Parts: sequence; C-alpha cells; structure tokens
Amino acid sequence: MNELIVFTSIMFASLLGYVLIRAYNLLPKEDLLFSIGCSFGLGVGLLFLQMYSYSRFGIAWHIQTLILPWLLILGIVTLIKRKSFHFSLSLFPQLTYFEKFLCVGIFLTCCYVLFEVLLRPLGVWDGWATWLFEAKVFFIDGKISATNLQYMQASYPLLYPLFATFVYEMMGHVDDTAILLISTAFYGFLSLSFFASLRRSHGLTYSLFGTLLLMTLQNLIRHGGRIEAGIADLPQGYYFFICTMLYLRYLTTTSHRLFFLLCTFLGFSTLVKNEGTPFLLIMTILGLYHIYKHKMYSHLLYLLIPCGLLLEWVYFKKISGVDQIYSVAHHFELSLGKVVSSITGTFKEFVTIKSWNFLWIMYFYLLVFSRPIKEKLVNLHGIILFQLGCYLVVYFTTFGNGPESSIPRLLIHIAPIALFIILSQIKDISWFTEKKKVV
Amino acid sequence: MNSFRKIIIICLLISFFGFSLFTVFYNTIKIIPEFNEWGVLTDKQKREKIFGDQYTFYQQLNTRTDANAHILFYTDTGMAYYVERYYLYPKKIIYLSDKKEFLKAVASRKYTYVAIYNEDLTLDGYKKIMTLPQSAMHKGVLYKINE
Repeated sequence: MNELIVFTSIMFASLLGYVLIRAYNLLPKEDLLFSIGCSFGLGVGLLFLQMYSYSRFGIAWHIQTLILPWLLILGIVTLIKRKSFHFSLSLFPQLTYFEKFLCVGIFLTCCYVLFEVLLRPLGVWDGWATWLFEAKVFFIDGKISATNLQYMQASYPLLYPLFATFVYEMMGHVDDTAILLISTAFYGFLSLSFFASLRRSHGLTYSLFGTLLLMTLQNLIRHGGRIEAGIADLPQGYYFFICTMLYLRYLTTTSHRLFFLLCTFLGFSTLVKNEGTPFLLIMTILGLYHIYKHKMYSHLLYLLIPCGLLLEWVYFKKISGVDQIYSVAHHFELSLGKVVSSITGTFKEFVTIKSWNFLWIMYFYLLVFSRPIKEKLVNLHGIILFQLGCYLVVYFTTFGNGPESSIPRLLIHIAPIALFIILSQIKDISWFTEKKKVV
Repeated sequence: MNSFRKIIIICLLISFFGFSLFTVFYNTIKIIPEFNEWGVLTDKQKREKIFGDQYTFYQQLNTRTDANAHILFYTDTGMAYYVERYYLYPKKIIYLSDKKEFLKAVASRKYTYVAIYNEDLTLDGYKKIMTLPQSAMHKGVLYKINE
C-alpha cells in the first residue's frame, strides 16, 4: 500500500510539472519525452517550495492543504490552456532486432532496480544520518524549525528531504523502504531525459544504445535502487543533467520561456546539495555570455529566480543558527600530502571499471585526443571540468573531506553529462575521412 | 584524428557496451540469490542484518525509555550515534564522543538516561537498567538516574 502511495505521489509531481510545461509552452511540443523527463523534477521542486513556504509562513502540512491548491491550479490551467495539450507523436516506432535487443536490456535493468529498491529498508549512511533523517524529523515535528535544524546539524539544502516529507504526509507515517522509490523515480526520469536528449539529434538506435550504457552504470544502479538509494546525489545528477540539456536547447532557440525553465531548474539544483552552488555559478557565466552575445538583456531578470532561492536558503540557515556547521566541521587545511592523495584518490575512481564501466576513461581520452570539438560540447566540457575542479579544491583545502568517502557519490552529479558528451563527440567524428583521402 | 586513435575509441566503446551487457546479465541472474538472502526476511530481520547490534540496542533503548526522553549517549563509533539518533527520534540523543566531557556531563546529573555503546563504564548515581545480551558482538548499556 505504501509503495502505491509513493508511486501516486511521484505521478502527481510529474503531472503537475507536465501540465505547467505544456500549458505555458515552456518546451516545444515535439520535445514530448524530454518534457516528461523534466516534469518530475519541476513537480518535485514546486512541491518542495510549497512545503518550505508553508513552514516559513506557519501553515500546517496536511493532505488537504497540500493537495487541494494544486488540484485547483491544475483544473484551472487545464481548462484555460486546453488547446496546449493537443499533440501527436509516434511513441512506438517499428524497431529493428538490434533495437529490440537494446530495449530488452533496458527493461531488464529497470526490473532489477525496482526489485532491489523494494527488497531492503534504508541502509546507506548519508540516508539515515542526513537526508531521510531530516525527512522523518520534519514529518514528526510538522514543520522546519531552528530547533530541529540545530538538532540535526542540517547544513544541506532541503529539496530532497522535503519532498520525502511530502510523501510521508501522503502516507500518514514514516516508511523508509517505500520512500526509496523516489530514488528509482530519479533514475527513471534521468534515463528518459537522457534518451530524449540523444534522440533529438542522434536517432533511435544510438539513443537506445546510449541509454543502456547510462542505465547499466553500476554506481547509478546502486543509487537508483540498491544499497545507496535514499541519498541526494542521484537527484543532484538529474537536475544538473536537465539544466545542461535545457542550456543546449537555449543556445539554439534563445527562447525566453526556455530560459525561464532553465533558471527554475537551476534554482532547484542549488537546493538539492551545496554542490549546486558552483554549478549555478558556471551556468550563470555561460548564460550571461549567451545573453550578452545575442543582446537579450530582458532575459537577465530570470536569473533572479535561482539567486533568490539560494539567498533565501542562506538567510534561513543564518537565522536558524546552522550556517556555520559545515565550516566548523570542515575547517581550512592545506598540505601537499592532501593534494596528492586527493588527486590519486580521484584518479583511482576514474579507472574503477566495476563502478563506472569505461565512462571516465573514454571521457578523458576523447577530451585529450578528439579534435575538433564542437563549441556547444566545449561548453559542456567546461561545466564538467569546473565542477570537478571545485570538488578537488574542496578536498585540497578542507579538513575531513577526501575522495575515499565521497568521490564515487560526487561523480554521479556529472556522469550523465559526461556520457552525453562522449556519445555526441563519437557521433561527430568523421570516421572515414582519411580512408577516402587515400582512395 | 588519426586511425590509431579511432581504433582505440572503437575498442573502448565495444568494451563499454560489452561490460554493459555483462552487467544486465549479471544483475538478472543475481535476482534469485538476492531474493533468497533478503526476500525471506521480516522487516526487523533485515534491519538487524544491516545494522547488527546497533538496531538491537535501539529496540532496547526504545522500550526502556520514556516517550520524550533525552538520552546522554557515549560511543567510540560515530555510526552507532547516527543510527540511534535516526531510529529513536522524537526521543533525543545528546552525543559526546570525548570521554572526559561525557563523564563531566554524567557527574552533573542533568540527564535521566545515559546510554553507552561499545564500552562498559561504571557510573556513580546511575543504575544499570539494560544491557545488550551476551550473544551480542558489542557492549551496550542503558543507565537511569537514581531517584
């Protein structure tokens, strides 16, 4: 029964996101699968904002007060904008034998992840020490308060725990086995978005091929449904990937609606984990450059969304007395030994094939040897290298942080983008040029 | 890009795909043994399997303390603290990892309950009301203040 409630909550979040995307044409109609992929993240973000604002304004969390406003909004929007919901797209094209083979692989992987997630209760350290502990505390207390934040020593943003609290509210109690389905949902919607993004420019066979490569990364499977389900790294990876794909679309369309959606997702990205802040920085720089290049200064206004959300969270942490927790626990420390161990530890993770398959080896090989690289892919490389650089700098300069315990998790944030680059770059290589020259 | 580099890319991609297929195959055949290992257990047994004595200790603490108890907690393993904190909420854990500080807090007699995990200390002014069974791999004791 609880599994059904979690599933319904996930569907509700997706429906909410999807209706808003369609009603306001935030994405083109042809981008149906990608819109569905985005809808879950948008819905989760909006439900988080609702939970957070209710708590800030002293409104109690009840099923009625949480669901009814959305039902009302959904009803009105659907009624007014009903024309926006007409679409026709062939979802089930004729498949070749190889495509069917790939689909079977994807299907079996999905079944395995679902089977695994329902098999065990929450077992990952960060899950019961931070993310789902916060969700449990908020649910029991019925609010976010300075007292409970201080007790939990909560210094991370609250998007993931508050969505879990929302689901607990729907259930009426805490069930830390069923709640892990949220991780599986992020895994599924990330895969769908990945497939849709590849298919947009590379065709069906190649997209299925790429999606299978992504879904079978053992580290992703672990976070989606196995031992490490229940922590916020996969959601962070999902939001980073969606933002990056929206950015790529923005480069070609320069639509202000798309930039609005991108900024909204950027705002949510910063509220999943602290690692979202450097991502916001690099994306803002890239966005500003594009705006400046095309003189679309009216778009600048949308950047207030992620900045506003981040500032509100920083302010709330300050008034709750939890703003110093992280910096006290991880004070400044720099030594040559730390730099060396951080680099070697990170390198070891790159070549851990059982976790990452050949993803990082291929990524760095293509980065070094594949030329020329298209401009849009150069930007994506910039995002990955900047993010990775920030993680390394934190390892170099702070006490108690090192790659041994966290790099397998942190690489989840950028792995889908890295795979997207690999597949796009391989597709861009002119395989037979030299041969033709010889002939 | 020269042909040699292209050959390497093809080899890497084939290996990537091959390993990916192996993962699908390996995961699929793992379903039955994993079900036999986990699927037959009750929820409580699964948690005991994951957390070991720490979960048993939680169950004991939960039954032997008041509904809104504040428990002074000492352990040399951070994991035990986080596990007990997670499971016991809304009961609250006040964790001190430094032995001197802990003994000072005990001497202040501010706390009704004191729990010690993975160590056995004798505390003045407190009576032992629960210990983990002999079969447990770790020591665990709950004290209550003498009225």
